[in-house]
Amino acid sequence: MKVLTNLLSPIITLSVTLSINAQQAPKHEYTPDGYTIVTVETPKDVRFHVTGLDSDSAGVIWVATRFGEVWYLKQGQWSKFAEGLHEPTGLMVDDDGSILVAQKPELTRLIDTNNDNKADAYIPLANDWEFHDNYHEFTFGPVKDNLGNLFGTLNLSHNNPDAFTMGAMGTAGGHRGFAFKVDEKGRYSPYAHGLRSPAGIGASPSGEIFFTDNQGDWVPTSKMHLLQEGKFYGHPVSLIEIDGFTKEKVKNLSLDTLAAMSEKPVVWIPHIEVANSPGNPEWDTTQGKFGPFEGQIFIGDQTQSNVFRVLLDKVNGKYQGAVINFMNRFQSGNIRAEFDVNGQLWIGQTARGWGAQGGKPFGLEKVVWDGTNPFELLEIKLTKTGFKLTYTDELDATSVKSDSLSAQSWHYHYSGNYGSPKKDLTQLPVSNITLSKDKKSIDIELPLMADKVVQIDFPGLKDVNGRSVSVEKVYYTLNELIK
Amino acid sequence: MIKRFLIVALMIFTAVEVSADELDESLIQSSINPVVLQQGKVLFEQVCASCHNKDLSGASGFNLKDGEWVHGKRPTQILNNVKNGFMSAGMPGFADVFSEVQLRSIVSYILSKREGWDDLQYKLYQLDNENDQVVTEDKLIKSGPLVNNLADFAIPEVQHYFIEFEGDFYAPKENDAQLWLQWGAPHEMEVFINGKQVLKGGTPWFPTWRLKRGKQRLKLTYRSGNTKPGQRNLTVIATNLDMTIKLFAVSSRAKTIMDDKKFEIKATSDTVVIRKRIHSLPPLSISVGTPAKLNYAFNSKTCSINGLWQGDLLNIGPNISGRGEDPSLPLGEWIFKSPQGIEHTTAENQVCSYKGYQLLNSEPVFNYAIGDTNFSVTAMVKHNNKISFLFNSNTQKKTVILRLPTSEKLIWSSENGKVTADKAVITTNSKGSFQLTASIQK
Repeated sequence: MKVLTNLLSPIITLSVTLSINAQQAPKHEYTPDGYTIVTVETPKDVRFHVTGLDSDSAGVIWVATRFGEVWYLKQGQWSKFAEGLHEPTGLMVDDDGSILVAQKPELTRLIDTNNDNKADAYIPLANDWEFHDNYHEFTFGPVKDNLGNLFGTLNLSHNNPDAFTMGAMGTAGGHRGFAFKVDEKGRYSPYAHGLRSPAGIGASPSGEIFFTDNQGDWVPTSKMHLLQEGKFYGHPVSLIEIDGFTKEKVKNLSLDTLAAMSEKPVVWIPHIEVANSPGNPEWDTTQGKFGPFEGQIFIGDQTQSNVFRVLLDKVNGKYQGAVINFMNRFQSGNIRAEFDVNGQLWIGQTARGWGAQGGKPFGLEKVVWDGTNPFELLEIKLTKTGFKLTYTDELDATSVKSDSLSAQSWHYHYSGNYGSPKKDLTQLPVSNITLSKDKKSIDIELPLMADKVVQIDFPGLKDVNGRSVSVEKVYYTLNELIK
Repeated sequence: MIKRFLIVALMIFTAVEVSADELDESLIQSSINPVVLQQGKVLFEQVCASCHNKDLSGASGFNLKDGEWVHGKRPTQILNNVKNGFMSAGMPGFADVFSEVQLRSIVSYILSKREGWDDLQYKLYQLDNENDQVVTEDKLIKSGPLVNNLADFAIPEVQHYFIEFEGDFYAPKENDAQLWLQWGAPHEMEVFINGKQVLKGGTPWFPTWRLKRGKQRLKLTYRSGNTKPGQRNLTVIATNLDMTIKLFAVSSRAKTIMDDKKFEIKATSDTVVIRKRIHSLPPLSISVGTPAKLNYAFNSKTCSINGLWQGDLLNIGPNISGRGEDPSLPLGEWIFKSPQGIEHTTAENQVCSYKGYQLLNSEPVFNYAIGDTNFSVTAMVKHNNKISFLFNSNTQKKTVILRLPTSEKLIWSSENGKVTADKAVITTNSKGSFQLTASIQK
């Protein structure tokens, strides 16, 4: 019996390793050359869970904490601006310098009317949604589009006995699971629905609004969407507030019907490997102050304590694209990201209630760049026959060969289950690898199929200085092939 | 009648020469005597509460109601400790301050507040595999007392096991309570009270077991089965029946969680405004605490004053620990609370519109509109038994009708109109203002 056990155990271990290999965070520390994480000292003896983060044109950093306070960091000194708020999870410095905070029950404008550097007016900008005192009913945002409209998202509830559920999360009505808009005149309207735990919202430089949603019931893996008016984003419970639907009707909708109604995400974000609980998309508009990634999206993850990039592609007029890890081993859960005027990427952190890889309960860190050109994947674009991958430095031509690269694809199963494993995981042959004239890009060919996530690994590629990349996997969400 | 009780109580305490055992018994007996307890409560709140907290949950001094007794748990030991103190730890002795009768009443009061396990023992049985359900004495590998009186689910260092925790257990005497197991779905935990198995209630992920009131014999059993090793350190907490208050820890892991559920907000020098979930108040209630120790809540949905309580403001710990599932707990005594409130009588379908608050010298002024009329309200508190609400509006010499909370403790008055027990009919003055005062009777 003992012999048999001994023989079996390596086999069992091996099979376990293979089966979980599919969803595993990178074990190594990944840091692009030239980038460092700097821990920022926060006010002493203050519970500084940074869930709202913005900066102004003078480089002042503004923070909202889960405890309910607003602080600012100016010339190395922290000062408290406001207090007594209800677990804010979003903050924006408005054009007039006033501060907007997304509290659970209210979007609030904080104004310092008597110029003593403390808010003395707490003015509701919107409170038209319902808050039922459920702990999961967060309000995320706001962000502003180029027309002056504000947008935010409203989390579903959890463990609320009065809520309608079809899995883990629920709604007791009042626009839970919706995105909302507040126009320049202060008029509130529900904007889109089908959201689950949409913990991050961001406005692109051109004023388009994107949001992330967290893996769970009806969200097979975390994702980022383009936010568009009237659209449905997949979590069915908020449909009960849409004309023509009832609870009964929603419960009876087939998976196929719901899937057909749902918007496709711009990117799927592979669970654990990249993120479990992504925060807000933040655009690098630093004009090179943060290195070569100008125009790209950076997102922190609360669980994995990492930051990843989103590389947008536009195919047939629609956004799709890829995600790739950027840096890990932050001290706590990365929920907020913000570029300041100096080109530093600030990361707001909390790990309370939802644990994080980084052991600290809360904090603030920033990523700074020292000017060294890193060697990493810069971008990826779909071609008719495969992908074009562009790097930040010239490639060593001898490393550009088929055994330097590999590819695989899968899709997710949309359902009320909590997340989805990778379905139909398939190895893809990579062929016809060609190096561009400027030696920075390669074109690869592989069999393409729509509605798949394509993972491309390039561990064998080296730059002309002999460097390897710190992150060798990119995940492209292939909603559509080029028509 | 009360007097006779008092005499009996005093007689119990006049016996001077008694053995430690007899004195233990006498102190325990007195812990159910309302007269003694009332005296003990008054003294405790006068001298002990500043360090051990009014609810005995501890502050700079130890928690005095849980199962952990650093300096001995016998009633006579507690009495001696109250008498002699621990100067090195900052606790004075009270032997020369109070009489023997008074000191004993304090100890009896402390004993009456006891909660959780006492004399807790455990037994650990090693099982053959995850399917083994046969628990026999020959599988017993470890047993003994748990001195901090918490069920420690981290004891087993074997893969497959059955563990049993048994001891005396103190549940609240005046309110119903239950055991609550967090993330309980995969776990085979069973509960026995006074030898009889208790039916499991609640939901699959958050099962509950109803406790009896007061002292009982409690046994918890747990079989590891096919659960993951990392999930077996169970969180068991005593809660009230509607699950809005987590009362005290029953397992070691729960202790860490409960310790985090205490974060008291007290208005000391300035008025404090805070928005949190508050037990017994509806969503969107904004609480205001004053240094005079009288607190109120303004509800931004109904534009009403929907709570008034004496004492300190809030323990927001339950609302800011873990995921923040639980409501903040007012630290004092309610004078009135929702659905009672100071509320405008409005026409059907007329809703108020909340406009925010302004801090003027740290006092909040709440602004709102009803129809075309703008109102503001702020409060003036000089003492914990009197609060004046100062209203302002943009209409002069106009009638305003407010519904008022009714309570024997409350006397309402206003110089601006007619006030009855449950209604104020007021005429705004030439500036659009009026005042409404509540006096709180003892």
